[in-house]
Amino acid sequence: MNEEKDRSFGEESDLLASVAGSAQSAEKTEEEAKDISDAPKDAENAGIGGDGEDENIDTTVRKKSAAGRFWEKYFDWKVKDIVFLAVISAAMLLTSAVMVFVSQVPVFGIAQVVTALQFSVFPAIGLMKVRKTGSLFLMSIFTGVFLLFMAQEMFITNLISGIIVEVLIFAIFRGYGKDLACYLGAALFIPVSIPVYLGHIMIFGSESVYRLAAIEHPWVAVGVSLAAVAIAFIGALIGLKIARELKKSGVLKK
Amino acid sequence: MSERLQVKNPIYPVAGVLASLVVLIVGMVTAKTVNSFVYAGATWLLLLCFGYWKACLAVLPVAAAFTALFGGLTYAFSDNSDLALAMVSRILSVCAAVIPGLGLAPVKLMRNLSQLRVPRAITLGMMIALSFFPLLAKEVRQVREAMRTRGAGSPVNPKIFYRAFMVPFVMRLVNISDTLALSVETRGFTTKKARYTIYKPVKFQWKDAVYIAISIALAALAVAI
Repeated sequence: MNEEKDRSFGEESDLLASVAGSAQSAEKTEEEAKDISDAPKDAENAGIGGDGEDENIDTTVRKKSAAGRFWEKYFDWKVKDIVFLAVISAAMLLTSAVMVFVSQVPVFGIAQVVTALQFSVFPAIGLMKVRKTGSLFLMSIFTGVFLLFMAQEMFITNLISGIIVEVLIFAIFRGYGKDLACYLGAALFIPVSIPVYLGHIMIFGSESVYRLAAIEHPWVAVGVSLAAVAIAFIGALIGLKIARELKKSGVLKK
Repeated sequence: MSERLQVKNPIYPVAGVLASLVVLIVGMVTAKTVNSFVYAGATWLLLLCFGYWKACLAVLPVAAAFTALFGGLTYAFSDNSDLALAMVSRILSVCAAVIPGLGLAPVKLMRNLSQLRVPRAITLGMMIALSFFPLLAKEVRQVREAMRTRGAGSPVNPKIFYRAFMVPFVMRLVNISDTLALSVETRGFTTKKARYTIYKPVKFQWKDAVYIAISIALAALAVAI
């Protein structure tokens, strides 16, 4: 009786395992099946593949998997990561709507001052959850897509700033593994966007009121820009604090 | 983007966005000449003829207000009428460049980008960022009402703002994103390589080719003359 029960249980678990296995294999496409990195290692360990043809095939697969491993280590975003970054970007945009009210004030850097807090707090929270290289760049794309319809020059400024900060953080920290990297990534976005925007208006906006303000009142421009930088660094600290608190409470899981 | 302003059959989305960029660049390049005014006006008329009449009319009062404001400020700062006129022409170019975006439903742009094999992570994120504006605005209102109900105090106080607004708001964001991610994954969305189809593909039509040809011709004339 017990043997029969064990046998039926074994059959049942085999059936469940085969269903789970077939569900898992159904998710993989033919391309993904070719990318399985364990196969060449196993083949090598088993001593399979002695002739030149097999070695060529093994080398090709191994090269792909090294690139695949690099991608997985630094850039492999999951659906939940993309969704979180997009929602955070929408929150950044929503809270930055106040910029419209100061856009007519002819002081260089005024737009950066009023948006520095939002563009440092939310990216800090986003980076603390999604600690993958390129997360800040993704956030700049998602915020920029709204600007694409309204102010294309700000979209380009956002993109360039995102790229510069990503390169800096990758060069120094090799990713967002450390909290300091997340903090600096969030804090540097606005300070980097100021010279990018200045360069843009100097080249293209010869009659822009901001260009005039920057040239005729340089010290005001410097003061306002420094204020924006200070707010960005403080905002990133606030974002870090919020993220740590939520992580401690279990709300913000990786 | 207001749905009232959206066109039923817009220009091919990517072509519309690129055309907007061209209008902006040409407008900036020709800002100091009369060509800029003519080019902005011609672009506005062209878009009016291609079905963007609601967006074209909606842009007029905004263009009038901004040209008066920025033109006046530039003249007050510089005391130079040429600079003020250049500023006005730049604003008109921006207003003309914005029209295709106002008339385009974001979902059509995303479908177009998906057809062009833009990574799905980017199209999904763009779609969420655009679509979740009203929902997040509602969340902000709810958190503020909760603050008022609990008698939390004035949000101007940094400590109260942090504890009673920011923390609950971010918690709501995290919950919304977790639920949304689950919903998206349940519907088969994946960031890995997978075959997918597009529900209503965007097709390039003859009117899109006509629009592009006329836009290029206008831009060339504005720069050359």
